[in-house]
Amino acid sequence: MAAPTRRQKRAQPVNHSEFQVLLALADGERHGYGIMQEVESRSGGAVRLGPGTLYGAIKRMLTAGLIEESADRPDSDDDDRRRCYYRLTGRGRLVAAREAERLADLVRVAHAKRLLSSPTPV
Amino acid sequence: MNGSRWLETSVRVYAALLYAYPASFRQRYGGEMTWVFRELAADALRRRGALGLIVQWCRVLGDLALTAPRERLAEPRRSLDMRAAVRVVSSAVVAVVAYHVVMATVGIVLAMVGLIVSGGSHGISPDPLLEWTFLLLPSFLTGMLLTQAKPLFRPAITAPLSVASYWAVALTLMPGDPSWWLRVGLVVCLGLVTLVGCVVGRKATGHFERCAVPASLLAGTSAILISTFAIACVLWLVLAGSQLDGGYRPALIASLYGLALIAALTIANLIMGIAKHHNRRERFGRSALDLVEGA
Repeated sequence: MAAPTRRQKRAQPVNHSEFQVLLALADGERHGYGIMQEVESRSGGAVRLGPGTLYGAIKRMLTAGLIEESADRPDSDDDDRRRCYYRLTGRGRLVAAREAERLADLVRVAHAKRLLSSPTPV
Repeated sequence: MNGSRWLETSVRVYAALLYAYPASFRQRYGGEMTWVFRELAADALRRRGALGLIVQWCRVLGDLALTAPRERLAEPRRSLDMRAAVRVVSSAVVAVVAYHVVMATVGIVLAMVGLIVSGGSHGISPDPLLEWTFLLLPSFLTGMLLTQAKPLFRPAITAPLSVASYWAVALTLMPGDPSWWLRVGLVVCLGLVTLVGCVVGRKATGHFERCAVPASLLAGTSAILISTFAIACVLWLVLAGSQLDGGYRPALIASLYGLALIAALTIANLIMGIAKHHNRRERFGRSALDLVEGA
C-alpha cells in the first residue's frame, strides 16, 4: 500500500453520505434530486439519501470547498428556478479520489485475507 | 381525496416540518428540500399509490428526526448582547401590559354598558356590577383569545360553540327558575360580546404583531391574567364569607370552565407557535429595538 502524500493527508475526510454525493457529482453537475436518483440507482436501491441527509452533506461540503454551486443549467428545457446545480471542485475531486483509494486499499486487504471470492481488483 | 390533493397536502406538511431545522439552514435549503420532497412524493404516488406515499413519509420522517437535531447542534451559538436583550424584553413587557390594559378596559366598559342597558341584576349574584363583569369580561377575553389561536381554530366556528357550552354551564346553574327567553337572550348577548372580542382582538393582535409581539405571548399572558382574576374572585368570596351555594356559584363555575378552555387553547397555540417564534426571532429583535428608539 502506497504511503499517502502530505497533500493527501491534508485532504478532509468525508463520511458515507458525503462520499456518495461526491461520487454522484464525479461525472458531471447535478441538482439535489438528480444526486438522490443517481445514488439510489447506482446502489440498486440499497442507499437512499433523504432530503435532510443530502442537504446537510451539501452544506458541509460547500463550506469545506469540496463542491460548488453551478450557474449553468444543463436541463434548460424543463428547468426550475428552485433547482440548484452542484459540481465538484478540484479539492472535492482530490478528496473523492483519496477516499476511493482508501476503500480500494481496504478491499485489497479483504482479498488478501480471503474474505472475498471475486478476483482481486486491479 | 385524490392523488394531487394528497401530494399538495404532503408538501405543505413537509414545508411546515422544515421548521425543525435552524432558520439559516431552512432559508438556504428549505425551498430545494421542499422541491425534492415533492418529486419524491410524486414519484412514490405514481409508482405505488397511497402506500408508496406512506412509505415515503416514513423515510422522510426518519431522515428529519436524525438530521434536524444534528443541524441544530452544528448551528454556531450567537453571543448575547445584554443591552439589546434588556431593550427587547422591556419593550415586549410594555407592549404586553398596554395590550392587556386596553383589553381589560374594553371588557369592563362592556360590563358596565350591559349593567346600564339591563337595568340591574339577573339574580346570578347579589352585586350587579360583579355579575356583569363575571359574565362579559371572560366572554370578551375568550373571543379575543380565539382569534389569537388561529393556527388551530377558526373563530367563526369555535366562538359560538364555545360560548354556548361555556355559558350553558352558568345558565343551567342559575338560581331560581329563569324564563327561557332570559336564558336564550343571555346566550345570544354573550355570543355577540365574544364576537366583538374576536374583532377587537383580531385588530389589536394584528397591531401588536406588527410591533413584533407574538400572538402566543399575548395569549399566554392573557391566560395568566384570567387565572389571577379567577383566583382573586375565589379568595375574595372565601374571605368575604359569601354563600358559594347561592348566587355566586354559577358565575364562578362558568369562569373556571372558561379558564380551562382558554388554558387548552393557549397550550395548543403555544405548541403550534414554537417554530413560528423561532423564525421570528430576528425580526422580533429588530422591530422591538425600533419600537424603543421610536418612543
